[in-house]
Amino acid sequence: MFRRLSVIVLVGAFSASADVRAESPPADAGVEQARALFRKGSELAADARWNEALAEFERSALLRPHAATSYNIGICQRALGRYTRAQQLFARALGEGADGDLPPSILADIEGYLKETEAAVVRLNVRLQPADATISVDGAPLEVLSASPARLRAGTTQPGRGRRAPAERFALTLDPGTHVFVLSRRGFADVIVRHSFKSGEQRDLDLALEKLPSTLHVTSTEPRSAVSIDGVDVGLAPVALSRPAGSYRIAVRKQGFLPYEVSARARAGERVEVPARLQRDEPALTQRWWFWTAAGVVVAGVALGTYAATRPEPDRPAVDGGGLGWAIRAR
Amino acid sequence: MRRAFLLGLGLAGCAPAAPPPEGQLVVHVTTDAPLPAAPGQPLPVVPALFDRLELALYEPGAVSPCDDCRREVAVDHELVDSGRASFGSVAPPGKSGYRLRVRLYRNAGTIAGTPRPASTIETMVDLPAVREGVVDHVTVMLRTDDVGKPPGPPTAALPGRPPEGWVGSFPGATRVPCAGAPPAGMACVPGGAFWMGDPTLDTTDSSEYDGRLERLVVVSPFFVDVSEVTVAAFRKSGLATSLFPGGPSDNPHVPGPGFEHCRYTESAGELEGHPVNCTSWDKARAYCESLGNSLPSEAQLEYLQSALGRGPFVWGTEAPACPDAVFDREPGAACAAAGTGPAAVGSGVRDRLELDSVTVVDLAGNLSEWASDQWNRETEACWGTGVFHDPRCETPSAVDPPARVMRGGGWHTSPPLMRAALRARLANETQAVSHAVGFRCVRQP
Repeated sequence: MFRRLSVIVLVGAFSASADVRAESPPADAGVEQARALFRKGSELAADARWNEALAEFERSALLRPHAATSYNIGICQRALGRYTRAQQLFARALGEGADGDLPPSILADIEGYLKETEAAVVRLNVRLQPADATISVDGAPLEVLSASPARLRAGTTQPGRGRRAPAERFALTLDPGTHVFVLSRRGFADVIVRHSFKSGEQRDLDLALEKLPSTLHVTSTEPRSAVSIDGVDVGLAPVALSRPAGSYRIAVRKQGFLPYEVSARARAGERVEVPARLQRDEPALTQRWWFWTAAGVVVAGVALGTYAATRPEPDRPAVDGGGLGWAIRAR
Repeated sequence: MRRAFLLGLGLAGCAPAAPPPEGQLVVHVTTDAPLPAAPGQPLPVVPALFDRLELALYEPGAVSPCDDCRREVAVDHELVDSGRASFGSVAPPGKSGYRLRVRLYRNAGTIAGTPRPASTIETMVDLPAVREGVVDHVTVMLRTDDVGKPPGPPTAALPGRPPEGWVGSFPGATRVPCAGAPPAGMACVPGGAFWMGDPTLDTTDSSEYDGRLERLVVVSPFFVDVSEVTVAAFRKSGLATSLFPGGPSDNPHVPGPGFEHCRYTESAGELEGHPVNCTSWDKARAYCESLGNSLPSEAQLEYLQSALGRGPFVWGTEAPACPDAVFDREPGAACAAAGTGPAAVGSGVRDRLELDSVTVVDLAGNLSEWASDQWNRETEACWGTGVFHDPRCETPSAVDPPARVMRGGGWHTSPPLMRAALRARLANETQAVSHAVGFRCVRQP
């Protein structure tokens, strides 16, 4: 009902405006073109072709700004569900019409529409962490209505990159529907998140960025050493893995070498280099081959007879662990 | 040590005969996918599609791997092609029912390091029973065409060792040259395979941006404009129009209130070498078709902007500095000192890709670019998992208003929005003419 009424008012407003202009001194070509666009827009609006009407009115406004044109653009924006932009245009129409360009009936309608859109817009109490992150909504920065208390509005600025908000907590008005929030700050992972809101909804909204993960880069002096992080086998060195910031216990192992173990603390967005220097597992004197060779010869010479009676069975060949050196013994 | 002892005994002439080996399997894994170069080896021409392997052994009747029966390892071309992506399995002789789950996956850039189904080849194989005193070799072969598919019922492992030379033989990944030389002003983009989508993007459930989900895309060779279409080139086409006879051009739009950064002017001026913007998708398509070309698909654009699948930016992985590309040039932004709005084509010193001695410029910045595709969210019908060959979305979104895809960053964006995988949409309406978007054309050889 209200939307239908807006069409009637729109045509009336255009007619009034056109009449006023008809009595004006001869207009230049730009004004004539603006007037033609205004008429075309009004005809399209009467058929509820709001997108097309909007384009005509906006072109008309570029050629000649006028309170009636701003009002009509506001009507189109409102019909398209862009309430915050409609509010901006209605406010502009009131400013442009302050010198009597708009009849009282239209002024009264604007007041009504402003009340109506005030009830329809979404109101959020936003908490932004960290506070100096930049924020954009639907690919455009926010319009700052007041810095203290911080009040911002979405949907009324040209597309562009996000900007910092004036405070960590701020009130944000935006249209009902689905919106994309883009948050960004150095050292933090960018967040692109969608939220949906109902008409007239009011609620708190926490927007927080998470610190970037860290990268653990583990290398070894010995190729194909096994790397584990907090006890979890993560592959063969060199290995680079992303992990949340924090402390990690890193172990590098290879057969025949002493294990290399170290604790590493990784900060957000930081790359931590862990160069493992593996040292050969040097056997003790009693583990040298020649010691036991000599001992074997001596023992064999002394105890050959005993040995013949108690000769031990040699071990089977070791299980083949393949190229990964890993053998599973299943039940 | 004990061997040394026995050697000593052997010297005494008493060494016993060795017993037969313990019965076991040696299980090899191989694939036709391109893999990373071994440490110290030169980078391969074709980027790796997978880099990690997970092996998990299930005992008969078990629903989860046995203790100490799961391992993940980094893999490279040499390791797999030489048959060393292998391990031993010892089980009671004659007992059957052992199964092995094998996952070859893409770990690049992930936080958790767990396989993602869309970029994983997964299979479950039945292992043959171990024979007493015999070491048998079996092989599990992973085919790139199976990426993203849910694992079917277990299959039998193939007897024997893996074939040599199979790694990297996936036909889609082969660099395919263009048939013939590129036309003037164009470069040949060789065909190949790449991961479309970037799991490190955080586009949580967004309707405006996405690009986080991966799929393997095979692209045929094509010719591409070396730069975004310039004002001069567009002027030559005579396609600029005005809604009003004798009025100013509004497609492409000329500079004016609300259109300050449009580059097209009524008559030739200083901006002829700038990329043309403020043009609708229909107008961009008409321009390309007037030359026998077409708008690129978003897959073609991402392939180019990722340097044929090598990284999030055409120059690599690090975020750009101001001279590197035309970006962040909104008034007051970090690089605004270099000027606001688009710049002459080729202004970014690192925003360029060499293709067979021809340089393609402005892939990450200057202007975002129209793609020919209809916008579909990455979760919608046009997209999914598996292997896609020259995809192009022709179906409007079922959940978003009709729109076309735009790709790449521009003078108005910050580095996060310049990443090659980021997808964005823009309505194809007269009102959607944007000073942030331009285009380039492609041609099939």
